[in-house]
Amino acid sequence: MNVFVLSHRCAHCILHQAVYGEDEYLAVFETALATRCPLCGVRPRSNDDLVVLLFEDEVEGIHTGASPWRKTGQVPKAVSRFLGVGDAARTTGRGDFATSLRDRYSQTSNRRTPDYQEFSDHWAKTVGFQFGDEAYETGDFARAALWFERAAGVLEDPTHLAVAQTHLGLALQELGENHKAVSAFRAALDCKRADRTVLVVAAQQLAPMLKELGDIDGARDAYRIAMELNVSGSSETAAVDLGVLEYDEGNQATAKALWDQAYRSSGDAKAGAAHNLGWYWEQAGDLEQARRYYKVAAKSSVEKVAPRAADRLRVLPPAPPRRFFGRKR
Amino acid sequence: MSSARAALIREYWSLLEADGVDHLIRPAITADEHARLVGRIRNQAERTAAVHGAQNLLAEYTGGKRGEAPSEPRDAYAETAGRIEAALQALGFDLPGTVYVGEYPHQSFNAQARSMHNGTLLLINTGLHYLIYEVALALSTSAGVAERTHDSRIRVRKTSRDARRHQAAAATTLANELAAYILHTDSRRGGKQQVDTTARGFLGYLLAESAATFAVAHEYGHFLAGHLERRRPNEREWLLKSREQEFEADEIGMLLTLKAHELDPDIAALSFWKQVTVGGAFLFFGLDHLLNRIRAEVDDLPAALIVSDHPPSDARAAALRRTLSELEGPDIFQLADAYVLTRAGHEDEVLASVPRLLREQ
Repeated sequence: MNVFVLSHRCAHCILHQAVYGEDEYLAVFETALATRCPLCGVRPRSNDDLVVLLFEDEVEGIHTGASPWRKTGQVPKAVSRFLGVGDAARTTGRGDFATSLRDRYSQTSNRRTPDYQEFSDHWAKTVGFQFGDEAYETGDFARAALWFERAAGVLEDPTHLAVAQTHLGLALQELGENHKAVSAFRAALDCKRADRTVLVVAAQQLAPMLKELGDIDGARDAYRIAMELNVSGSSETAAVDLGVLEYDEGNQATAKALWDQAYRSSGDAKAGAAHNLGWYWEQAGDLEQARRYYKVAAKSSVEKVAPRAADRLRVLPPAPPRRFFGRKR
Repeated sequence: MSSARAALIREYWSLLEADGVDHLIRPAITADEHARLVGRIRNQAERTAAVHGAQNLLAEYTGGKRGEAPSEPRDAYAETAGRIEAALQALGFDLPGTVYVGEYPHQSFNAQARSMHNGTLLLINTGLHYLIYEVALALSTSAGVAERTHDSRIRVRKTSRDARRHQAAAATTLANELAAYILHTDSRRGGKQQVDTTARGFLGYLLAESAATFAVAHEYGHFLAGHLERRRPNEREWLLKSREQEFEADEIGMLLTLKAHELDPDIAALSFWKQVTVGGAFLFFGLDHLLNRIRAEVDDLPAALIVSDHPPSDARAAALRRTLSELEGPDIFQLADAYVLTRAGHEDEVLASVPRLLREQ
């Protein structure tokens, strides 16, 4: 059966071998550990750096006897050395010509690279994202970034590509490589035909990162993109966040308009917008309006927003008693 | 052709005539015989394709041409030698002298060399070229055809009863051919494989071509590594090599064969051309292994029938395996390993055939 060994150190297929039995299968690990990646030369350090991939039907075929691989089972002793079984082979003594020939052959005829490039691309396309995701979940962000990057290098479906780029950005962000993360998020947004729900996530990740890096215009554009993608919930959240950016930049009126827009929606964004409008009116001195919005936010079930709004309501001076013309309570 | 090589070829033919063996190399064939041969090949090819339920690719391969009877003595290794020398040149080496590859009935499975006035003769045992093709054809008959289904599963095409009969006949004929080669240096006295010009058959021919090229390239290896310069006996003696030098010549021969195939666009277009090329070298070693077993295990075998002057073939295969693993990776042996095992399955049958043919002599 076909055995493919991938290395987590370089996210390449470093070994492809046909094996016919358990002994040979186990020997693959030893071989792989001693193998430099044919594409980048990086050698795995331990078994933890290796992942072995098999075709399910070929494994099943061996169990059921339907496999087209070696049927004889046992290797006849007479030909065991032909198959590399048994004593170690001698090393060929080489004179000047044989040494030069070997060198020049290695330099000009190493055609393994295209094969392994093809294997690596295939596996990066089919399982690269999965390996990246698993590494991300365990907190190994360097490995995650490597696999996401490989996957992004070969995926063709725009949505899949955008997902890989977005996750790459997230992993890079965890590694503190913010500029690279920005590039990854931007690459995700370049996948114009990708699903909007994916693109909006990339835009929402990109915007605060640019803001943090001091690129206010870039952040503003990213939030606008998120809003224009018109994804229910996410676009309103982007409006809330853009409002915060505008408020911080001194554009209170613009901020208010954005929060008003988000307030007209339903869901979590409405609660955030309500809180921010409460703050806006509090700062503007209209405590009644502030109280009104804080109450909406406090009644929501949105984590962080509701308690914070409740806190504001507690510290605001009590509302003056309501007066009704010509009537006393 | 250079004048030095032309002179060397004249020396070669003089040598054959002087030794009274030129008739073995120069089989006369008339236009009528050639036409009959071509007709027979076409009929066999059609029958074999029908048995296997596969497409006959002969017309596609030849472009419908029938060819003409050769008017000159056949030069079986001219093309092979040319490709090896082109590979050498592509790797940036010059041929350090004049060489000619020809046939000679020296009874050694491995090629031999002679130093002549005008250069060096690399001489392949008569009949070996033909035998290698027959063996490869028989082995390819045993190959099963597997297909990937639309859902990426592997499905092995069922072998028909006729195809199984064909495989059994091929195995028996192969045993007889090998025995005949050992006893008479002429495998044709043991029978003949059916021509197969389906894709499976062409794989066999390619494997045979690889084995034959390796055999010649191995001898070039001796020449290039200077093994033939250190001792120059007179023209009537074979140039001797040490066992250590055989391993070196194997490595040189293998690399030159791989390079020669890399330069051939028809071969290099196949995704598994390297596996076939290496498979050819291991087929060659496998045949050598079988001949050694016969020498060791068959009683009453005339001692002169097989000359053995090389290291054991399994040691040569193991050493070459190490070199190729280092240069190309272990997956290059996929076809070689399959053919080694298939051929090994025929060994007992061949070993049983030899005493029978000996008795029938």
